[in-house]
Amino acid sequence: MKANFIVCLSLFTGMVLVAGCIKDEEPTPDVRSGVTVVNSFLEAEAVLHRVDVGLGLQSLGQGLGYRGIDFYAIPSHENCRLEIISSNESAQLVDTAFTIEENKYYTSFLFGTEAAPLHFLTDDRLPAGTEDPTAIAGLRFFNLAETPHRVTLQIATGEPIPAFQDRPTETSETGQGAAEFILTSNTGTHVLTVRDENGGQLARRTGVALDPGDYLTIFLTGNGNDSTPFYIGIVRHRGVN
Amino acid sequence: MMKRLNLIFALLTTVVFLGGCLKGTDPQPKQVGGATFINAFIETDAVYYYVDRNTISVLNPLFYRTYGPTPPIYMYPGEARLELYSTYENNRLVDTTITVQDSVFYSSFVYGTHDDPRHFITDDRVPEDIDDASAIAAVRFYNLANTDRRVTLHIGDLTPIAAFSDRPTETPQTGKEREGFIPVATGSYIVSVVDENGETVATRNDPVDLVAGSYVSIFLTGDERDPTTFYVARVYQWVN
Repeated sequence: MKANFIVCLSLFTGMVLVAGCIKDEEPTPDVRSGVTVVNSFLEAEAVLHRVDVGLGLQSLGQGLGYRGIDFYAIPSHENCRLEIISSNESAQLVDTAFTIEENKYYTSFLFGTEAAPLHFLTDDRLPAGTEDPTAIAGLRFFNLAETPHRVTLQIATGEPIPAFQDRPTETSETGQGAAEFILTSNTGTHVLTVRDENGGQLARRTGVALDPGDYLTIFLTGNGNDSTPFYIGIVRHRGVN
Repeated sequence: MMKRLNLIFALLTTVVFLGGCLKGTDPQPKQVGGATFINAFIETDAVYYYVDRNTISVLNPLFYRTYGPTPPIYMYPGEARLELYSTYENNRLVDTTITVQDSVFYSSFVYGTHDDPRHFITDDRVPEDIDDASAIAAVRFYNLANTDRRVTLHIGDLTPIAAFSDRPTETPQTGKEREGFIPVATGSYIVSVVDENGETVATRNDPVDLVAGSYVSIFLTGDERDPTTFYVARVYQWVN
C-alpha cells in the first residue's frame, strides 16, 4: 500500500513538473488599438461617439463635451464603423467606416457646423525612418475653427514651421494630409500663439510642456464669439505609430 | 539534563522580557535635511509638484497660500528634476534641475503669473555668525505679490530692517540672493506690509510669534488687480 502510494505520488509529481515543458500555444496579448477622440464641434453641448467593431454599435464613454479630448483602447477591426451623435436632438453628425490595425494609434477629429459637420481620422504616424522617437518630440497643427481666416501657429518666438503657416479651416482631405507629425528638437516649455493672416492674435496658450518623447496635436477651435472664443487645444498622444 | 535545559530557558526568557523594562536612551529620529514647497502662485487654485516625474503626496496638488509637507520631505542628495504644473490647463510653470546636498533644508517658492511664472529655491540656514541657533529668532522677507508697488515689512513697532524695506516684486535672482535669515528681537508681533506712499497694503490678523529658535519666512502675496487678495503669509522654516 505504502509503496503504491509513493509510486503514485512520484508519478504525479513527475507529470506536474514535465507538464511545464509542454510548448503549448502561448496566449497572445490582446489585440488592441488606441483611438483618441477630439470634439471641436461647438454647436452642441456634447457629442457621443459610437463604435462598431463587429459587435454592434457601442458607446465610447458617456458623451464628450465641446473642447473635450478622450482616449479609448478598442479592439482592432477591419471594417470598423464610427458614428457620432450630437446632443442636439440626437442628430447623426458622422457615419463612417475605416480599418483600425493592431496596436496602432488613431485620432478622430470632429468639427464644422450642424449644416456641414466635418470629420477626419488620422493615423498618428511619425515620418518614415524616425530613429529614436523618445529622443525627439513631434507636433502637428490643425485649424478646426469656424473662421474665414488663414491661421498660423507660432511656437515661442521662433519662425513658424512652414506646415503650420496660413492654414485655412481643414477639410477631411487637408486634415488627413497633415496627419504626419513634424519632428522637432525644440523642446522645453513654450508659449503658443495663433495669428490670422494680418498678424492679429486669435488665441494664446502658455506653459505648454514639450519634452523629448512628447507627441502633441495642437488645434485651433472656436469661432471668435464671446461664448466660444478662439482656443488652442492640445492633445497629448499616448502613443504614435 | 532535561531539567537544566528548562531552567536555562526560563532564565533566558526572564532576561529577554525584563530587558524590555530597561530605560536606555531611546534613539531620537533626527531631521537631517529636506524640502518645503510654498505656493504663492495666485492665478490658479493649486499647483502640482513632480520630482523626477514622481508626485509628492501632500503636493498633489498644493493649494494657493499653503505649504508642505511638514516636516520637510527628505530628498536624496544629487540632482533631481523639479516640475510644477498649474491646475489651469496643465500649464507647466517650472521645469528645473535642483541640486540637493546632504543635511540642507530647502524651500521652493512659486509666484507670478501664467505669463511670467517665477520660482526660486532657497537654502535655509542658520546665519553664520550665530553660535546657538536656538537662542535667537530670525526672519526673511519677500515681496511675491503681482504689484508694481515697493513694499516694506513692519514687525510690530521695531524699526524697519533695511533688507525688508522698499522691496519690488522679487525676481528669481533677488529671491535667491536674499535667502539669509536676519535676527530679530524675540517677541510676538503684529506684522504689516506698507507701500512706498505709506499706505498699508496688508496686515496679518494673528500675531507672528518669534520665540527663540524660530526662523520665519514672511512674504506678501496677492494681486494688484484685486487689492483684497493682498495677504501677509508666514512660514516657520526648518533650518540647519
